[in-house]
Amino acid sequence: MLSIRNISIRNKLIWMQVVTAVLVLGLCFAAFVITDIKGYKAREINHAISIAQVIGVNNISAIQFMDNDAAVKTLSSLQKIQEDIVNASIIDKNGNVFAAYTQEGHIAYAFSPPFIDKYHIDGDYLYVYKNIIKNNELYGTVCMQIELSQLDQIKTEKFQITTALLILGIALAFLFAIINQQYISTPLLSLVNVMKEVRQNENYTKRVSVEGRDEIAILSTEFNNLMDQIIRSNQKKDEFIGIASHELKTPLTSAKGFLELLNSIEQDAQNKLFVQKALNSINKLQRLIYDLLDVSKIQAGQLQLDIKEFDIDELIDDCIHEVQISTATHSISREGGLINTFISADKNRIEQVIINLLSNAIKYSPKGEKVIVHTSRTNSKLIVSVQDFGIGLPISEHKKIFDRFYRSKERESGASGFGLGLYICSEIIKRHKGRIWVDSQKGSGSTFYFELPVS
Amino acid sequence: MRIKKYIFLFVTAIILAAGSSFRPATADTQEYVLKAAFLYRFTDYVDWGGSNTSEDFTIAVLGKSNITDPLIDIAKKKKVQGKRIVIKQYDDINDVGDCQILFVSNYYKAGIETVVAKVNPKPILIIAEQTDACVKGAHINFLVSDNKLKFEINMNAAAGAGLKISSELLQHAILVNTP
Repeated sequence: MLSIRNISIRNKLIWMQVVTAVLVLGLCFAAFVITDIKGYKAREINHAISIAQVIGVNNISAIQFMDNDAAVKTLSSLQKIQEDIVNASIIDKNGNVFAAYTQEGHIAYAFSPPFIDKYHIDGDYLYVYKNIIKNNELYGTVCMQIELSQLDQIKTEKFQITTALLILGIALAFLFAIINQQYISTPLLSLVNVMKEVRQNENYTKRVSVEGRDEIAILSTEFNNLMDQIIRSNQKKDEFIGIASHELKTPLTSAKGFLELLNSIEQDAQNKLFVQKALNSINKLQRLIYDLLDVSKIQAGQLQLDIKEFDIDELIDDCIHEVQISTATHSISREGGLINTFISADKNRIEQVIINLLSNAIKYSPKGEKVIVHTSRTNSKLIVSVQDFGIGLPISEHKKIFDRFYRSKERESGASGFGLGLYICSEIIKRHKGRIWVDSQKGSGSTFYFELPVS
Repeated sequence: MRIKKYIFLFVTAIILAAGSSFRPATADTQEYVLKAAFLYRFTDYVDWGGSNTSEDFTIAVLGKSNITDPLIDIAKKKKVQGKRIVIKQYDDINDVGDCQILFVSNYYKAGIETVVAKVNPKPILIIAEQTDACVKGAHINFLVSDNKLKFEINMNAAAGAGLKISSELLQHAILVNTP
C-alpha cells in the first residue's frame, strides 16, 4: 500500500498546495454557481410574478364580463413576450378555469388549488399563482407554468467556466507549489547531500550553509553544531589514544627488555619456551601500541619522515626474508625485474608498509601457500605489489579498507587487530607523494599495490 | 304490468310539469342576476363627465323587469363613485326623472326610438335587451349568444350623449353603429 510517508516532501508539498487549492476553489465555485442559479431563479420568479400581475389587471374586465375569448386571447399573446410560459390559466374566484392557454407542442397542465399567491419550482418548471385583486375584491387567480429553459444552459455554462477556472487554478497552484517546494526541499536535499558526503568521506569539517531563520535553518545549524561536536569528540579520542598508547609503551618496553634478558639467560628448555611465548605476545602487543601511536601521530600531523637514500631492492628482500622466517605455512617469492635504484624515502616507514602488506597477505590467505611480491619501474615511479591467493575483498570495500579502524566484515573472523595497518600504510605512502590501492575479488585473493616516485 | 305502466306515466307527467313550470323561471332569474351584475360593472368603465351633481347614483328601470330585484340587492351592498345607488322603476318614459342609467325592459313595449328621442341629449346611459336596440340608438344592448350573455355598444350614440366608454369595456363588446 502506498503510505504517505513514502511520498517525498517535495511531492507532499505540491499535493498539499494543489489539494488545498482544489478544495478552496471548489467551495468558492460551488458558492458562485449556487448563487448564480439562485439569482436566476429569483429573477425568473419576480419576472413571472410581474407578468402574472399584468395579466391579472388586464383581465379584470374579461372576468367581469365573462369574456373567456378575450382572456384566452390575452394569454395567447403571452407567447410573444414570454416564450417560456408553457401553461397559463385564469381561475375564477370559485376555482373554475375561466381561460386557459397551452403553448403548442406542450401538454396542458391543470393547476390545482389552493389558489393563493404562491410559487414553487418543480424540476425544470416554475409555477406561479397570483391573485387578481382590485379594490379589495378578489376576481380570480392567474396561474402560470414556466419552463426554466435557461437553467440547463446556465448550469452548463457555469460548469464549463468553473471547470476551466478550476483547471487553471490547479495549474497555477501546481506551478506555485513547484516553485515553493524548492524553498523547502532544495535546502533539505543539500543537507542530505552534505550528510552523505560526511558519512562517505568522514570529513567532519564539512558545513551546511544556513540561510534564513526557518526550521530548515535550525536543522542546518544543529547539523553544523553536531559536526563540531563530532570533531571535538574525535579530537578527545585521538588525544586519549595518543596518551594511552604512550603511557602503555613505557612499561611494555621495560617488560620486553626483561623478557629478552630472561630469554638469553634461561637454560631450562621448558622455561625458555614459556618466556618465548610471553615475548611473542609482548611483540604483538607492542605492534598494536605502535600502530595506535602512529595513528595518533598521523591525526596530530606529527608523523615525521626521516628521508634518506637507500636501495629499495635490498629493503624488499630484507622484508621478504623477515616475514618468511615467521611463517612455516607460506612461501613468499619475488617476481619482476630489479628496480635497481636508490630512492629518497623514510626507510623504516617503507619497511613498515611492505611488512604490513606481507603480514596481511599471510593472515588473509589461511589456505593459500604462495605470496608473490612483484616489482616494476618506469622512468618516474616504481610499483610494488603483494599478491595473495586468499579470501579476497568485495569491490565495495576496496576504498574503505584504507580507512581508519575499518575492518572488513569478510575478514573479521579469526583475524585480530585494530584495523589500523592499511590506514597507516596509506598515510605513509601519501606522505611520500605515492599511491596505494588494491585489486581484489571476493574469494580469489587480493593484490595490494603501492607506487612511489623515483627522483 | 299495467299498474307499473300507470305509475311510470304518472311520475313522468309530474316531472315534466315540474320542469316546465320551474325551470324557465330559474333560468330567467339567473339571467337577470347576471345582467344586473354586468350593469353594475359597466359603471366602472363609463364616464359621465361629472354631470351627476346629486348625492345618489340613480338607476332607472323602464317597464317591469326581473332585473329590479338583483339590482336592489347590489344597491344594498355597493356604491358607485362613492355614491349610494338608488333603483327606480317606471312604466312610462315620461315619468322618468333624473338618472344616470336607464334600463329598458323587454316588457316596455313603446319602443327604443321613443326612449332615445325622449332622453337625448341628456348624459344617461341607455341599456336595452332587445334585438337591434343599439341600431335604434340605445348605448348598450344585452343579447344571449351561444348560451352566453353578451352585449353590444353603440359608441357614437354614447358619445352623442356625452358619455365616455372605456376601451377596456369595448374589447368585450360587439360594436354597433347607428346607420
